[in-house]
Order: sequence, then structure tokens, then C-alpha cells
Amino acid sequence: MNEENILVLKDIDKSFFGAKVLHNINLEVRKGEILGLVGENGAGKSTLMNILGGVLPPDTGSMELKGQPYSPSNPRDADKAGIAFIHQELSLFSNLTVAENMFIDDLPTGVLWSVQYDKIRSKAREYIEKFGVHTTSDTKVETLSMGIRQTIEITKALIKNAEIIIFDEPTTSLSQTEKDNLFNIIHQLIERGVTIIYISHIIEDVFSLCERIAVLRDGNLVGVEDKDKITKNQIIKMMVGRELSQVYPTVEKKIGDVVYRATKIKRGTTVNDVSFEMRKGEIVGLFGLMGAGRTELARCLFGVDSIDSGDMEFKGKRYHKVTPELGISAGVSFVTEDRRQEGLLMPKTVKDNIVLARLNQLQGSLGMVSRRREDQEADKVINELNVKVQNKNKQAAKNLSGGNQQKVVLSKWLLNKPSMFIMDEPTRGVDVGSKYEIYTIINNMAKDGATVLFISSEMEELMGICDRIMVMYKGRIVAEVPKGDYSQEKIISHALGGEN
Amino acid sequence: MESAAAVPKFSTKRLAPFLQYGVYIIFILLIIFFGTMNHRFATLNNALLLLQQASPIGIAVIGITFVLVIAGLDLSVAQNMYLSAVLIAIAMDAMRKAGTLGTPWSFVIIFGIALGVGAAIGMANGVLVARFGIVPFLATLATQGIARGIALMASHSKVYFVPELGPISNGRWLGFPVVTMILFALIFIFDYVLRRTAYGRHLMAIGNDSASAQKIGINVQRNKFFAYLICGVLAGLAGLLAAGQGGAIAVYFHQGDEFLIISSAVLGGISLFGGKGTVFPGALIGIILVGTIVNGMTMLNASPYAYTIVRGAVIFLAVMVDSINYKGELR
Repeated sequence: MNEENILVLKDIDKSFFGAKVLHNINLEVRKGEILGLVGENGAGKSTLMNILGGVLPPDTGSMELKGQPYSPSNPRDADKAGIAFIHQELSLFSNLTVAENMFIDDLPTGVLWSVQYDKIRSKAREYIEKFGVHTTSDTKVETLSMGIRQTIEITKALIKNAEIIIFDEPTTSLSQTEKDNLFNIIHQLIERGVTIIYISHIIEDVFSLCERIAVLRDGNLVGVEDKDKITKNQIIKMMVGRELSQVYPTVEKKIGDVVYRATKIKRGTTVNDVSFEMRKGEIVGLFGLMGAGRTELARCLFGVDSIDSGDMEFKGKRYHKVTPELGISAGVSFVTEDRRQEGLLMPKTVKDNIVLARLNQLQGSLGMVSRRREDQEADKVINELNVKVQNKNKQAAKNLSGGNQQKVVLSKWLLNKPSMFIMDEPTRGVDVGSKYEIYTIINNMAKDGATVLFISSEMEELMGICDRIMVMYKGRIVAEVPKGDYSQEKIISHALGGEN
Repeated sequence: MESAAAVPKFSTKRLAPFLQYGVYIIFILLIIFFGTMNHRFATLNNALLLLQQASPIGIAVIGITFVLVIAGLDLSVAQNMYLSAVLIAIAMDAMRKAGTLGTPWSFVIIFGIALGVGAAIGMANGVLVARFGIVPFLATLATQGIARGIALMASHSKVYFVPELGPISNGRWLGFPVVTMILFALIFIFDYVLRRTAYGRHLMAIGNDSASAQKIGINVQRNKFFAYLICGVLAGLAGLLAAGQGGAIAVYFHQGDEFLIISSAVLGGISLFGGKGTVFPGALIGIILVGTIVNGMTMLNASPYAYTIVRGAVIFLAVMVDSINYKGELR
């Protein structure tokens, strides 16, 4: 084997319950590089990493670490071999101090089994200084920000002399500054000779950070490419197996009369004097930077938060005060990124989740619900919305990918055929392929005559599927850009409060 | 959705100082209340009596602290005390007939039974919860029933008298109650275990996030098992001391006191959600607070039925404060 390869995976296969999740994976990781690993949710990234970390054994295949055979049987083995994981959920204990956390699995003890606090404190201080962590050894972790917690987790890996550190979606709970800081630390790690595997679905991050990018799709390693020799679009194409030009589906539809009118909606300073109209069959985008008041406006429109003044008109009826109940009965739906709050029962099976909202329609005489009809109904929804599920009777909703969870949520709302949708970041945390399908669902709703208010912080997707885009800045709608005039620069300058 | 948005309006922020110092405020108010109602309440003699009476239960509170910090539960503590007391009484009856009661060896046997019964029930709980992963509520509910059943069968529902244990449970040494000295010694030891040893720190870690603890290589099963064992052993010892204090053991011996023990711990700031709590001052505060309520009500000649009401109110208060303090998944 090549000497510069620190880790080599050979012919790794893995199946769950007869379904193959990894096909013949051959991957080489070079010493001291940052290898990006991308793929849609469900492509097999986590399974591959679990095999590497000793959580799962491979069915066939072998691994080599620094030229030696490597076959971990539990996470401790991976630990000892110098492979560390930084997961999106950190394994820090919030009720313990920084020092305790750093050494919790190997606390030095002295007289009468007492923990040698002096020792771990001074050691912790040493590491805190070395890695520039903004904290002290005796601070309780619960008081620290996610960014600092992550740095502590990385420090823990370095204390154990980890040579390979695997980051699994590390930026999901970080702010922009914390993210920049993390990238700095990753570069420092490389200088120390550490090898990094960086897993993320944010392709921009992977591009700015990694030297080589490995792409997984449906359990196959479709390619490992040098960053310089490939474009973002090509990577997306490899991930989803389709051209980027198709990422935004189009549909023939008719835009009708104005059905919704909001007049001078005001709530404190977050939503300030907002007026707009929406038409039947129209998809209206709402763009704005963080803190512009998008979500706040959506909550006001659906009546989750009360408004100070203003009124709304929907299908010719005027409302001064709306509540979610009133909205739902008038045919308005509100979909957010928070799928748990949308009433997705995470531990329940996919079938249960789909059927739950339909029980009234499914019940027969004496209120009995027939299993057969439940099955049929669930299959119908799964086919219509293309929900990727291995076994609808056994798989829990929490084991679905974000995109497929969102589809199940949408199926619930679609049942009542609402005539207006307010969607707040419906595609956040959703992989590229599922996004496409969610766009298709939204398009079809508009085609059937529904009005959609689509809120997103991804300008590309708004430009891809909206008929016009409203831009918010400091609680006001400052601009309205029709479809023909879309340009990223224009929209962004409005969102930043510019004049043009 | 509306209700979810409305919840923050009931501002827990305004309650924060009350929640933080709540038990102290309640404690002071209780002393003032009982003190004005009965002039003999706020005296040194009564304070010592209060401590003496609260000590046996207090030892069980120390034990349950270990189970609660790992987000566990032990409903068997009170019946553990009953079984321990009954078996001790039967052994004492036998020794009384043989004329060996009162020898040093007889006390070794008595203490051996208390600790042995406690250890057996603690181990059973530990195996069921830690090894077989049964929900603590159900596992310890089962052992509670079994312990009570064995005790009822062994005692034939008779009342036993154990006056020979009086010197331990009601005796004074240099004017200070002996049981309270035992309680303080155990508080010292077990506070050290929870606060200073690696074992104690691991328990706190498990209570905070058991899955992570497992992942980084802490032996969660073994640590949990020992937490239940400690709880059981201390409950067995509490049974011995409680028997000596009352002098008699009937079928209703400390029946239902598991909830008093749990709520004492919770009032002392030990969270039912795990990962939070101390033996000192936590458990001790809870012990004294509940002891004060019991003692004060006795001095007011309160109706026995009123105890049940107050006990319910205490449990409610403790659990409510705990729930408000719990920060949910953001840990």
C-alpha cells in the first residue's frame, strides 16, 4: 500500500435487514489531508463512519490503519487507535466542569480514591491555553456556547493523541463566527499533522475546507475528486445523479386573482407596517437576512403571535385578529423547519404518522379502523410524495432523513387541501434530492390553486421556484422583485438595506 | 401552538430567586409559623429532637440521592426498611428466648441483617434496571411488592417490639442524638463519594447523558448497579434505626414513606431528571425541611389525617419546583 495513506478501506459491504446500505466501498485517506465526505442523507455516510468507529462491524471487507490491519470491535478500540469523532451532538456533560469533562473517562485518583483535581485542573489549563479556548478549567459546560463546547470536544480528542479526527456535520448548531473559528482550528490541526475527515451536506463548506472530496450515493462511492478539478455543480450531480439545471422543477400553472391581502401589519419593532398581496396559484418568496423579521411576520400571519395593529383579508373576509385555529379552519397551513413541533411523532412508525391525521376518514362501522385500509392509505402517500422508507411498519419517523420527515409532515397538511400555505424554511436540514421533491410538491399545490408564501434564507431556491420575491429588512418589506428581474446582487443589496 | 407560545408568559425568570433560595425561604417561614404557634418549638431541645426523629429516614434519603442523580428511581426503599425491621425483630425474638440478646455478637447479627436485606434488595433493583434495562419505576415497584410480601409472611402480620434497639435510635451521647451522629457521618462519607471520587463524577455524567457516557467508555451498567446497591444498603440501615426509634414494628411500618424520602431529596435540589444534586448540603436540607414539618405538626397536635394532606402538598411542591428548574433537552 501507498505509504502516505494513513487509512485504507477495502471492499466494505454492509446490509441492514437485507437492505444493502454500503456496496463495496474502497477509500484511501492520505496522511495530513482534509478529506470531505458528502452525500445525501441516507447515502451511507453515517454507516461508513460507524464502521470506522467500531460501532458497527462490516459484513465483508477490511481496514488498514498506518499499514496495520484495523478491526475495531467497540468505540474504545477506535479511541485507542487514535481515531476520534466530533459528532453534531457533543458528548460533553453539561453538569460537569471543563476540566472534569476533558478527563472524565480517565480521572486520575489519589488518596482514598479521590479525584486529583489539582492535576486535572492544571492539565486542563495547559490545554486551554494551548488551543486558545475561551473558558476556564472550572467553568461548568452548561454555561458555554456551542462553539466553545465543540472546541473542548476537539481538545479532548487531541489529549488522547488522535491522529484522525472525523467531523460529522459539525457546523449545524454554530453561528457564523463560531464556524469561522472552527475552520481556523481545523487548519491548525492540519499543521499539527492530524488527518481530518469532514462530513457535511453544506457543499460550500466542504469546498472551502477540503482538498479532496469523496461522494457517496445510495451506498456507493461514486468518486473521490480533487477540489481543483471539479465544480460545485459536478459534485451535486454526483450526489443526486441529475443535472443542476433540473434542481428546480417547473410546472404549468395559472395565477389567478388576489386572494390574500395583509395591510399594515405591525408587531413591536420586529414587524413594522407590512402590507402585501398574494394571488391564487402564486408562489411568493420572502427573503431577508437573519433578524430581518421573516419568521416573526409568518408567525403574525398565522396568529401564533398577536399583532399590535393592521388587518388581513383572505378570500374576501377581513380579519383583525387571527389565531392558528381560525387560520386552519379558513384553509391556511403553516409549515416550519421544526418538524417535531409540526406534530411528527418521532418514535412512532412512518405508517402511524401518516395514518394518524386520517383516522377519521379511515374509520368504518363502530369506529373500527381497518388495518388493510391503513396500509393502503400509507402506501398511497408514500408513493405520491416519494417518501424513502425501508419498512413503513417498523421504521420510526426519527430514523427518516430530514427531507422525508418533512414530506410526511406535508402529507398531513395536504390532507385538508388548504388554499394557502405559509412555509418557513421548509427545506432546512433537507438533502438535495428531497429538496427537489419538496419543490415539486409545492409546485403541484400551486398548480391546484393554492397560494404559497415561501420563506427561506437560501436565495437560490427562492429564485428557482418563486413567481416573485419580497425582501425584508429591519421588519419592513423593502422590495419586491418579479421573476424576470431576479439577480442575486440585487436581492442581497435590498436585504442589506441598500437603495437600488 | 398557541399554548406553546403562551408558556413563556408565565415567567419563570421572575420566580428564579425564589426557586434558588426557595427551600430556605420555606424553612424560615415554617420556623416562624411553628414558633409562634407553640413557644416550645424554637428551642434547642426541640431542634435536637427534630434531628433525632428525622435521622433514620434521612439515611434513606442519602441512598436515594445516588439513584436520583443517575435519573433513576427507587420505590422499594420504604418496604426495604420494613423487611429489614421485621427480620431483625424475628431474629431478636429468637435471641431473646435464647438469652443471647444484648451481647456484642447479637448486635453484629442485627446490623448484618439490616445491611444484608438492604444489599439484597438493592442488588435486585440494580440487576433489573442496569442489566436488563427495565424502567426503574416498574422494576422497583416489583421489588417493593416482593419485599412487603416477604415481610408480611415472615411476621404473620404480628406487631413486634424491639426496646433493645432504643439506646441506638433514641440514645444520646454527650447530649447529642446517636442516630444523628450516624446520619452526619454517612453524609460526610457519601458526600465525599459523590463529589470527590471518580465513581461519583461518573454517576453525575451518566445522569446528565447516559448515552454519551456509554460512548466514551464509562461502565454505565456497573456504575448504575452500585448506585442501586448503595441505596438499598442505606435503606436497610434506615429500617433498623427506624425500628429502634418507634420501638414497635407493625404492618403499616413506614408504609408510603418512599414518597416522603424521594420528595425530601427533591426538595434538597436533587433533580428527578438526573445529573443534578448533592448529598451535602442538598440531601441534608431536604431531610431537615421535611423533619421540621413533621415535628411542627406534631407540636400543633395536628390531626393524623392532616399529615397525609401535608405530605401530598410537599411532594407536589418538590416536583413542581424541579420541573420548572429542568431546562429540557438543552443541557
